[in-house]
Amino acid sequence: MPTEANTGSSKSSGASQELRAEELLGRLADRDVEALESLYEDFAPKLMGLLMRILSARPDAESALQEVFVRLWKEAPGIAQTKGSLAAWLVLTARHIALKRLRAQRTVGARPTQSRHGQGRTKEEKAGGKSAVSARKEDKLRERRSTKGDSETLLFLAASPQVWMPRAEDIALVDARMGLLQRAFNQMPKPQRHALELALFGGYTESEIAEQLGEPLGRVNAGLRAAFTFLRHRQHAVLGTWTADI
Amino acid sequence: MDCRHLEDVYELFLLGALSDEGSLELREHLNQSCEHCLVRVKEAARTVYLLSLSARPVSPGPKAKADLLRLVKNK
Repeated sequence: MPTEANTGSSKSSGASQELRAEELLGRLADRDVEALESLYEDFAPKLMGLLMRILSARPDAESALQEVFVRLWKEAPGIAQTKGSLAAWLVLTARHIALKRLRAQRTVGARPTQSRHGQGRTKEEKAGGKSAVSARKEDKLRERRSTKGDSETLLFLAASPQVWMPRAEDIALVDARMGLLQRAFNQMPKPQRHALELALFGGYTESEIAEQLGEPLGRVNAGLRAAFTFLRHRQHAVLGTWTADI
Repeated sequence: MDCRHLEDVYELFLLGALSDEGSLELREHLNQSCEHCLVRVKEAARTVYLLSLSARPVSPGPKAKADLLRLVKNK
């Protein structure tokens, strides 16, 4: 969850960075390499932090970071046309590139239970209640589900940025009030935060999270929905958008 | 179309955490240009943005930037 440590320097600098990004995006669409360099300077540390959190290994994170900016270079004209927030596009695209790689790594062999995101094995597995054969079957099921579910979201994010990209001014407002929002988010109950982090940084689906935590799926579903309702209400309160968005 | 049951799942969809059936239903619904849901999906993207930035910033190595610029200039 957000901490004070990652809020950056001044609150207003985030907002001005967002507005500067829109200007640079326009230049990028005209194939201006210096604009790409400036955007890299502005956003690479934030994106690298996210990528490291998901992928852990620095070489993997740097490779994913390069993929993000190469995509930006290729798709800049289309992104500029959406009039949406470039910062949001960069962050959501980075996250999905990283998760795609993470899932590919899992498919190759590493069990999700050995990842850095969750407690790992279910209670039954910890107690030695499952054989290696049944555990392998579960891994295969998990991999199939993950790949398929991920594809739906990836397809949507790649094909319809104009649908999901928030307005630049909305993201600038979030950046300006990041500290307040973070304090609010830290009030979330720990079990909900943990489940949310498994989805956010581990890329697990609801059913996989239930499996990881050894909890009934219904309880995990309800907990995650409650977490997002809490976050939504806090954002409306902090951003003053109770009526503006509805 | 009644879409109240979709109210709580936009963030999960953008995270890729929703079930296949749920993701498909939401995508099909968005294709119908539901005004309310189009606002909600942008709001959900804002939330995912905010949460994703909870990771501490890390500086990439200097070689990473040089490699990127070289790659782009050669394209």
